[in-house]
Amino acid sequence: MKRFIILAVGTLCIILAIWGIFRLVGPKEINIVLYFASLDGQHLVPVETKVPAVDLGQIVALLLAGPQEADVSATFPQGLSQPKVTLHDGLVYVDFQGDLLVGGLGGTSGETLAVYSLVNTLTQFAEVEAVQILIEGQPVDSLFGHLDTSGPFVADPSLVVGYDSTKNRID
Amino acid sequence: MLRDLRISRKLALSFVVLLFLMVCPASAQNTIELIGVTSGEADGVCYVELTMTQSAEYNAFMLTAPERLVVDLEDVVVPDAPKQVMVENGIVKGARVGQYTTEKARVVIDLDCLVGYTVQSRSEGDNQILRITFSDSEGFVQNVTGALFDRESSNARVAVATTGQVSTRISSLKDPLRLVIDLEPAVLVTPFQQLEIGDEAVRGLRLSQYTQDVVRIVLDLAYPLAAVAREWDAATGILPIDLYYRLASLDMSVNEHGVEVIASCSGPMEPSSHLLKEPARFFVDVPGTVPMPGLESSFNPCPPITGVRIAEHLPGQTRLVFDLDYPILPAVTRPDASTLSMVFPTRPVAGKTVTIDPGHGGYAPGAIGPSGAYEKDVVLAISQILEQMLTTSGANVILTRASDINPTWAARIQSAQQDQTDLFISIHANGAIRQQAEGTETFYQTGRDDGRKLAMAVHSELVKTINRIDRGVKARGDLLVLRQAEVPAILVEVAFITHPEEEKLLKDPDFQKQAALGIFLGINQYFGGQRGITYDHTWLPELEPMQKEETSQILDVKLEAKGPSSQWLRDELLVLPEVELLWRASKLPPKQLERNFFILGPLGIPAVGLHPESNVAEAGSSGLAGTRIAKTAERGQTAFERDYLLYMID
Repeated sequence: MKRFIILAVGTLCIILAIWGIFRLVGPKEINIVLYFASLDGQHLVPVETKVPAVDLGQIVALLLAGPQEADVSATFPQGLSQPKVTLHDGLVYVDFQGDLLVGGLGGTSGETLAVYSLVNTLTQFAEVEAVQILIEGQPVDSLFGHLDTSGPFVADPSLVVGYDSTKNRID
Repeated sequence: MLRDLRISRKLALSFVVLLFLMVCPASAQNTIELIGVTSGEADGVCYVELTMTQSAEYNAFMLTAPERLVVDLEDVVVPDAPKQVMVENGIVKGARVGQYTTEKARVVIDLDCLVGYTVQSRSEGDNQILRITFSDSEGFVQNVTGALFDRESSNARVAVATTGQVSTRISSLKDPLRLVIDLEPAVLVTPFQQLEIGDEAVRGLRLSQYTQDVVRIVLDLAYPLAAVAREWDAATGILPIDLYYRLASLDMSVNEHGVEVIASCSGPMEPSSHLLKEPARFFVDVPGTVPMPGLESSFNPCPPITGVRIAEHLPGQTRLVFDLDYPILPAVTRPDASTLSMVFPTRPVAGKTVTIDPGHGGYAPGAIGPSGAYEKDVVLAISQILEQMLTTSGANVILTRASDINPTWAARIQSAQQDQTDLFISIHANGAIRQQAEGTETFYQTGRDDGRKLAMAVHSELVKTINRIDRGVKARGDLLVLRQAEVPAILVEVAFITHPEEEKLLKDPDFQKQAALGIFLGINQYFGGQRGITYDHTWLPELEPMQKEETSQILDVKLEAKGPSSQWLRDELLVLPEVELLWRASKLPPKQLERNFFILGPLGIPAVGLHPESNVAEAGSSGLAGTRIAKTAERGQTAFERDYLLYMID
């Protein structure tokens, strides 16, 4: 009986060890999609990139930093402060500093692409259903006077380049 | 025999002498003698008088190089001819008198220059006096030295070089088309002149002596022309004869678009027009034309046109005035260069109410162009032009803002929710991170067919008038001003202010007018009018200049700072806690105000920026804020690339 227990514990240890090793040496990089703007400012363009882990704050930072590729455009002005990103019950709160509102962004197109580059990027993860934008902890009616940003956003696939409007049309 | 002959020769000679002596007294009595040449001045004009013993037939003509007037007197003898007569007087340098033939005396009056003249005969006692008067006035025989054709855009004229004012008789001839200008009394002192002219209307010019005292100018024409002789210009010696096209007809018809008036001209015309209120009237000025007589009475007005008045408003400029029963802008097209069509719409928008919402304003500049233009300013300008177009077409307009303020979105759409309006149109300029994004797009609320119909109508007209890249009509479900509008609502992004070229255009008043026109035409189309008309967008009626609101009067505000409510602003800029600031804007001229005054408050946390040198600076700590904001500007935030003082208020 004692031997059996030792054997069982040993087997468990081995299993745990193997699992642990697998966890450590397993695939470190995850493919994710960042949405940037097309050069004409009409659409969102998915750009694949690798991240070590799904860290929403880090992903938002990557998005705000802008694309490496020349064939897509950033959706946010350069040099913004990093927003606080928290997940709560499937809703991501992206809490920007006031500097977002000061310069560099405007126009329905600019505002739409900025907001949905964030929303479409974050909602690619199963645990994220919607995105709420905050400014210094508070929801605002609108960032730049076009989009209603008072409530949470869900992804808008119609903005993505190559979207077939006949596919998901509800008549 | 020889002697006899000699005697008979003597006799014959005696007889002849006797005969001569018998006849002589009678013949001496019949001979006209030129007994005096004098000069004088009367009423400012100088004259030369030839005194003769009896009246004689004469012939006067001018010769050049040197300039002189020759008067031949028939059957006149000059005792002790030839002689010089000193008659120097003004233009007259002297006179020479001689016996030209035995029966003709010639008086040559040497002149300073060519000049018009008349010859009048009168008797004084036993003598007869010929007075030759020199003047450039009308009625004197003037000398024509040449004629030229000249055109400066719509101003075409024949310049006739004459020594004075002559009366003109103008007539037209057909097959081939010619214009005949007779100058009378006048003499041509140069040879016959013929010119080929490559003008749009005039092909050639001929100048000749038609009768003894009529000089004739014939113009070979491509289009029928009217000619109007002007005053002779003494300084240049030119008698201008202006040539105009004739505003030949004014036809009116009523169709489904409204009342169409077609004005046709005998040649190409370049009209300009204005709409005036109180009383409502639309007038068209057509330079380079004169109206056909009787044009006015042939026109039977029909509402909205209540009357028409036609006149040569300025020399060679026809003005058509259409009296209207309300101020309405007609749709103007140019079927061809000599035709102008004006369609006075039968009020497609009249009686309707349209809400125009100029985006942003006040502390929210909206998108900012690369050279610093603010969206809020250009969209307000476009909105105000559109307002003017709509009101002058009989529509009621609700402007959500008429000055540089930022109403809340709820206030903007208030009228659209409470059934006070028929349409809601929000006017914006687009922006993108990348400067190359450009074009026009129009948004409507997803699922709203009326909004879609309005968006399609406005967008299709707008892209036609401003001719930028068509980004299409798009349905969105997330736009603030469209979400809760109960009436058809659209948001128009006219062009990208972040695109350098479109920024320049958006600032350009002509482009603003075109943009407003496009939206205006789209609204009309939405209301079911004016479909099927091809508008000539290059030719636009002039609008009355807009009265800009004096912003300085509404800025006498009390600003109270209760302390910070934004961590970022507090850290990055400047916060003055508990500052109470009374700012009298009237002390600053409005222009300076625009440059030095800035309100920041995207969160509903307005902050006021003032120039450190303004009188407000003493309320806070000057200098400090200026450097702080410059630091912000270094981070590429173009909104603050100036020296401002910032005050935070809640």
